[in-house]
Amino acid sequence: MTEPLLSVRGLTKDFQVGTIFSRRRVRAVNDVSFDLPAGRITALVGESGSGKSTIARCLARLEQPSAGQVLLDGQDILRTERRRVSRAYRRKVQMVFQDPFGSLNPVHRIEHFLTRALVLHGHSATPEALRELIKTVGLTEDMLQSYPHELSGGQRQRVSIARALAVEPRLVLADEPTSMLDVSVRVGVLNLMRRLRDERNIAMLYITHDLGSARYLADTTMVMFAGELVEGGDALAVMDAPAHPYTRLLLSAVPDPERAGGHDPVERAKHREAILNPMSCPYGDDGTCSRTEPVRHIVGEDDGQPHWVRCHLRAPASDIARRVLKATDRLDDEAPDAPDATEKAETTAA
Amino acid sequence: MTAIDIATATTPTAPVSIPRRRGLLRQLTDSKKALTGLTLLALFALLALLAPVLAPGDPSFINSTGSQAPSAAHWLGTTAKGQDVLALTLWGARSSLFVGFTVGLVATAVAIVVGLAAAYFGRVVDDALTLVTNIFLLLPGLPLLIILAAFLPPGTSTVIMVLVVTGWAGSARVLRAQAKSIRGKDFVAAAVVTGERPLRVMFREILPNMASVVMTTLLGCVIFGIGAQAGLEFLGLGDSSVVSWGTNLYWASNDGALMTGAWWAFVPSGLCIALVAFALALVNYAVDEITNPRLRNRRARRERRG
Amino acid sequence: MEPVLEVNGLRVEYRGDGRTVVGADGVSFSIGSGEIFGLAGESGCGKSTIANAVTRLLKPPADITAGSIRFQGRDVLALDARELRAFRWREIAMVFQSAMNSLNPVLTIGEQIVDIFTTHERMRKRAARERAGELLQLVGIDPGRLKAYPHQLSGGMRQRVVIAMAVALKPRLLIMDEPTTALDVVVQQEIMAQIRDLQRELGFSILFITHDMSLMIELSDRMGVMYGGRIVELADAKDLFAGPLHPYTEALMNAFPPLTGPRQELTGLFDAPRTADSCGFHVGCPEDRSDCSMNIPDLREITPGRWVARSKARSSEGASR
Repeated sequence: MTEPLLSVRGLTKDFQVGTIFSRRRVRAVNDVSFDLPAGRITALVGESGSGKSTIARCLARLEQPSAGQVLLDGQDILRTERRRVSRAYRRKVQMVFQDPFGSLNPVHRIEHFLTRALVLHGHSATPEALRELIKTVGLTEDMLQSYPHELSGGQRQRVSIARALAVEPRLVLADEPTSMLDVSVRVGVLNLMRRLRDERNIAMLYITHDLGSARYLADTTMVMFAGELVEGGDALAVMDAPAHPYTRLLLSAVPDPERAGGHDPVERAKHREAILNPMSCPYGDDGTCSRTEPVRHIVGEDDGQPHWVRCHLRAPASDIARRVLKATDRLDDEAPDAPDATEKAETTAA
Repeated sequence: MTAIDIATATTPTAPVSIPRRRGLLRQLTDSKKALTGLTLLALFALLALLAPVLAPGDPSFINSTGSQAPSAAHWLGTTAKGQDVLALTLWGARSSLFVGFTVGLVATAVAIVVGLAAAYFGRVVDDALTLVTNIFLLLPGLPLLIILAAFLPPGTSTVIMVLVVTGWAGSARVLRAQAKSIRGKDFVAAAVVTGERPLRVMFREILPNMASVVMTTLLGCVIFGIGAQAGLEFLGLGDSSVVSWGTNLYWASNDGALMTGAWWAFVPSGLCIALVAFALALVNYAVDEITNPRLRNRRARRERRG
Repeated sequence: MEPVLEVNGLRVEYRGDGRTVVGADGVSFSIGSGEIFGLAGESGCGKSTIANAVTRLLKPPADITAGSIRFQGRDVLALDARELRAFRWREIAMVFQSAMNSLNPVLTIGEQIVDIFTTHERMRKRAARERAGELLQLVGIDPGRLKAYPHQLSGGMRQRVVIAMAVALKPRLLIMDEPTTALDVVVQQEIMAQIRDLQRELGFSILFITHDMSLMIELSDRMGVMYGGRIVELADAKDLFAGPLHPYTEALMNAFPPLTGPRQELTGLFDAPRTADSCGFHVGCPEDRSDCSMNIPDLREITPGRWVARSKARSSEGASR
């Protein structure tokens, strides 16, 4: 098997939340490990508070992980580039953000974003280069002179993609790129992403809470819950034959008019119980299962891609799990909402 | 069946962008307040520049009898010493405006650097800079002004320096807060991920989005500069050999103009200070109006269209 | 049976800056007693405008310039201030977008619910508190939480509280504007189940507004699809799902990649901003657009209960699929 483009091992991220009087540590990402193969789209599916955005921001070096390794081309960049992120890394790993209205600086023209991206990485920002870029993402040349507020959400997102493409990256981290777009426009952006993977062999980490789009776009899907990965494998396999109770719960919660009779609350309650208070694990045996270690069982294989599930016996370590699953109110000593918003300003220097 | 005249631009959930510089200038000239203020300022600037032409010679030259009421020979009368008040006022404008604007610009520049750095780097740098800012804020301004002015050699540059030292902290606080909120936005993160260096991010990504706050800060600092300078000089702590509105007032008070009822000796300079401050405040208010309340109305209108 | 709500030819305009923008035009639909009516469409299509118009919550520069709104036979537009106050919340209640974030942060939820009773029904505090407890139980929250502040509750809980507040006075019609958009899928499912249970128990009608077609089809009895301020298709939810007749409806439904079945390439809409010259909806329209680029035709009844905004020539050809 070929070497993956990027490998994450034991990634952990804690956030400090609260005031001076009641400071608390919230674990947003807990011991996450996965591989990103070159030229493939990997979906990271999870709800808000699951930690998926935090992973993206760690990989984009906007946050400093509390522990773990990120191996790019075999080198742990968290160790080799501890303080200052190298331009070489920025060239290889790019990011597209969720909010099309907030990820483009309103005072600059579109041209500026593409020019800067080109120039910073040694390409010359000739009119041809700009034209090439803007056309690749399906926009027209006259848009180069526009300001962000003159474009629609979908168009802005395409500009963000163009900006990421300008440096000729090998990996693009897409953090919920379509969730703030109008529904009818989303598919267009997803198609664009797929085309870029096919034509330019760019690997992508597609982060989303929308299972349907993950199934549509991705080659591999990983499911994240309460800061931990619970299942992974070929995208279709994970959706069609979900192995972990959380995945099953998620799938059952998605509104699907084709599904006759709707949802079964008894079934869902069963899934919840299986997640929070697991009694047994159908995939391992007493020897391989573990309540304390994040053991992964292989439940199948598709095209050489293993479909794995984390041992059911291990209940999620985070308080967020309980709260999310029970839609329970937050007691005073439980974890607050996802810290992503509060901690965004505290980031590593460029 | 009617054609639907649908507004251009984005869906209603889009936040209205901060008016770009071109738009801001145009809106400024539309606003009556801004126009009045700017015209007044331009007038004063013009008079200051033309002082050597309108009142040639050394204005502190004693060329007449003292304490004469305004007359044809001396439009604004003479001081107790016998100097032409009009000449003093015109020449005074040069120093006052110069010091005022210089203090304004330098204090704002310092505040920008401190505010941006604190917001961008965060953590330790932020804590340190905030501590420094708070110290300067806590120190009582007027006593500090007086002490510094008393101990340093008299002169215009001293005055400027003293005023900058006491005036930058308040603005730095405001600018830091604004910069911090912009720092947290995705487009700054995007610039960082693209590979921009810290200085570029601070000055080319964050600062342009703070244009209106910087503008109001600047205007506020200028008002502070002019007023505080006049105050210092009135107390005799400035360079009393320099001709400025403040020193005019100082000499007028020293020479007992108030007691003799020679209003023409202090009213012109005082009025000038008040008028310039008023003009600056008008422009300040206009900028505020453009960027805040109108935006609020516009945004509310757009949101309801959804 | 008289419909609970009857909207006819409603037109809402936004005047400003010397220019008039039409937010909704010629909108007509009716909601029967105990019926769940869905209004689907993307942002900017006018559905929120309609919701606000029905409760007369539109503020200038928005203005209702044509059409009528009748609630149980009464003309809503003719109500005066006093009647309007009695009308709102008692007959019609509304759950706004992100309502869970608009609970008063300095009052406990108990106080906020009690407020409704003491204000509208002039109840005594103690009786009101009892009713408040019952209300919370109705939406599946322990009455002990009356003393909690909004920030102590999770998003899902807050939304339930808001819904409880909306049904407090047993209105005949409940308008919900994107009630679950900000919530996770799992919580969303809970809330939708709750709404369904409440509706079955209290028997009110619902005007349900969302852009999520799947959700709407699951919940609604009948639905309308809005685009550019006009309704382009109106039918029973099941019929609409089985065979959409308008290209926009079809495009909207196709925009949701399915969870089952083989992977097929979907085509989205051309994402241009809507301008005065074009509706931004180019690619999906299979037929010649000469009479559709700006002017969306009136609704025409194809079969009883099914309305489509297509010109006579095309609609006579029958369904497009």
